[in-house]
Amino acid sequence: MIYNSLHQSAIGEHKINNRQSQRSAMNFTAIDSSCGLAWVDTAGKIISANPAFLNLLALPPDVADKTLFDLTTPLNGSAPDLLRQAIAGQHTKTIKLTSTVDNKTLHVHVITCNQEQRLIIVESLSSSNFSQSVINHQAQNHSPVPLANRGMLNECIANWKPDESGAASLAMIMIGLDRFKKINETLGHDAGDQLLKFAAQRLLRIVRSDDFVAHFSGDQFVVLQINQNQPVAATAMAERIIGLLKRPFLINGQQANISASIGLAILHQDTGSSGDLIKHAELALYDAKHNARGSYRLYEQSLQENAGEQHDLEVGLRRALFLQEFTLFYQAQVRMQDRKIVGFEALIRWEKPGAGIISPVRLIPLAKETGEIHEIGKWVLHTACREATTWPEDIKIAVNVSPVQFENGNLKQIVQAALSASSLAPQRLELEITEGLLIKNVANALEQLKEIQALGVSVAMDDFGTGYSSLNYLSSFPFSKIKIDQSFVHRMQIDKSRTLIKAVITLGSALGIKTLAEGVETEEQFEYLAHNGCMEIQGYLISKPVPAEQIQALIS
Amino acid sequence: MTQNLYRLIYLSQNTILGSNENVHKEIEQILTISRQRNAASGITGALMFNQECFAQVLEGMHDDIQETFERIQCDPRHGDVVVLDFEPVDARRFSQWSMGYIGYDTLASKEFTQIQLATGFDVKQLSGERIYDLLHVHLYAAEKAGSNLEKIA
Repeated sequence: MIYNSLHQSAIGEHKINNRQSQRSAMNFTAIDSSCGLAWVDTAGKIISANPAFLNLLALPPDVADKTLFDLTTPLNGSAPDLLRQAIAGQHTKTIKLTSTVDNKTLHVHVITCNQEQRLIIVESLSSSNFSQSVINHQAQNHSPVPLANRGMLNECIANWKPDESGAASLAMIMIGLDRFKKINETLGHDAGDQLLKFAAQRLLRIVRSDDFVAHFSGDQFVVLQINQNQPVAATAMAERIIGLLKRPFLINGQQANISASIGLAILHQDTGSSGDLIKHAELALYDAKHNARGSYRLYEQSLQENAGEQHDLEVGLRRALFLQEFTLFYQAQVRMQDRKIVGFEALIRWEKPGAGIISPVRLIPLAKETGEIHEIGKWVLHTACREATTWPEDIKIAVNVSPVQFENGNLKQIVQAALSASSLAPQRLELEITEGLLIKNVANALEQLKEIQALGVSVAMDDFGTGYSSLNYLSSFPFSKIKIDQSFVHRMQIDKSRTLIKAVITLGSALGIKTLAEGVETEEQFEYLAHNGCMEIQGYLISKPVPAEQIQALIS
Repeated sequence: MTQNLYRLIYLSQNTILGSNENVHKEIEQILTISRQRNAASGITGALMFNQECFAQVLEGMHDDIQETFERIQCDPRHGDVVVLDFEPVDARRFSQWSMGYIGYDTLASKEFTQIQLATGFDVKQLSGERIYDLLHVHLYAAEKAGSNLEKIA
């Protein structure tokens, strides 16, 4: 309640300013509240105060343009000094005072909203439930960032009113620090907190006095521009902020470098209602972070549409298994010496009603993100094993396993269940894993692979040459096969690619590991690979991925 | 840990526009204010300018350097700040100067330009130590010659 009236006044009645009158705007004199409210500048000069403020601090009625410290003589002991420090500083602070009027305890919150002005809220402890407020909450939590928080930002936006002239605008600049998690991980959380504090200070140093700066969440800040010429002011500020946060920080004796991405949403420019500002700025920020870190992005409706599409896809994915929208296609793997089919790789295909076929390039990352990958992975294993039982016994089935599926530690049980449900001989199942699996938590992944291998299942290294693979992995685990990534085969006219292919084949034969080349499309590629000792291939030259029903025709 | 003596060496691009006179005036202002502030927070150091770039050394307690550097970072009169060196030191080498200054028409500044030319303006190749020594040697030489270093050169 208190906040409503506060921000209504602070912002709603705030007229369009030219630069000269920036400092005059916020009028608290008419706010009837049990809490004392005042705007002061950093020297303590009172810009505006409500009657409760004057009462609680026992100030005379006419305080306009007087300095708070000159007037606070009735306060006890060190209070004026504490207050002076709090106002001069940039940290949100709460000071306890004893009122000289009735000896009640007063809590004085000093809040930094921009470089030049402080908002002071005085509450008499017996007079309200104000201690539940967001500010107090923030002060008690010792937030590392001396700024208004998300709650105050929301109130500020909710109570903003356009000017009668209609020229008023509201622009949200949402700033996300890139790679902040990495700072926390490498330099420690204490360093992370310091960096947030410095970033906040830099923002406070460059915003205008009528801008509102808030700490939105962990590594996100917001600058709200009120009644400025848009989008010019917001884009100029965004550029300035990006440049400023790119500059090095000195933390704990070290240099730390980060960058910032920014999303902008401006009222009446693709954002119809002030209630959508946060959502739109977040969408724009998300887009900036994904497409061009260290840049800014202005919200436009297409972002919402993309987000809507993404949302549809997510919802669709959650029920796709139940609605049986997935099918497996199989691509033949042949032995080079006689072009006999020795196996099939199972590939998932999602046909989403109304949207057609969703490419695995979109499906797999989304499934990983939403966690659906576990259920989908299980389904793929069961289905592939079951369908493979209808093929001749000398044909294997290869199934892709994502690194995420190793995270739960129960992949062995899932493989076992698929084998026993289908009665497929374990020797006919091959799991294909990517090099990426072995980056994080190598020991645990290798442990699980060994258990799976003990069942009789073989394990192939997929997409070899595209990740950060270390040759170490090849010697630390008995892979049955190395799959040479199709990008090397496609670039085979380039000397370097050919050299690499040859090296991998040689490596495989030295270690006793079979090599298979993916993406083979021409006889010429086939000849080269055969000549250099590659043992198996897969690709359009032999067959594209086909549905289960067409397999019999391929085999015979 | 944060109350140890540190030194900071950084380079930045000059973004002051206008005539030489205007640039000169701005730098004079930078020096006046930084000398006041540095004296108050126990910072010593030197600034070198060669029309294109600033090179600055700051010495002082870790947290004081941190705070001073944050203020410098927000100054619109320069950009592209590159920290060459930030490390603990045993002693100050610029203790006589709250902000010694070597201007663009000096020998040192010309040497600075030459170093930059030799490294193809690739700041990653510039050594903090070299800038540090350059400033140090020339400030002392100038002092011996009797010029008033606390004045703009």
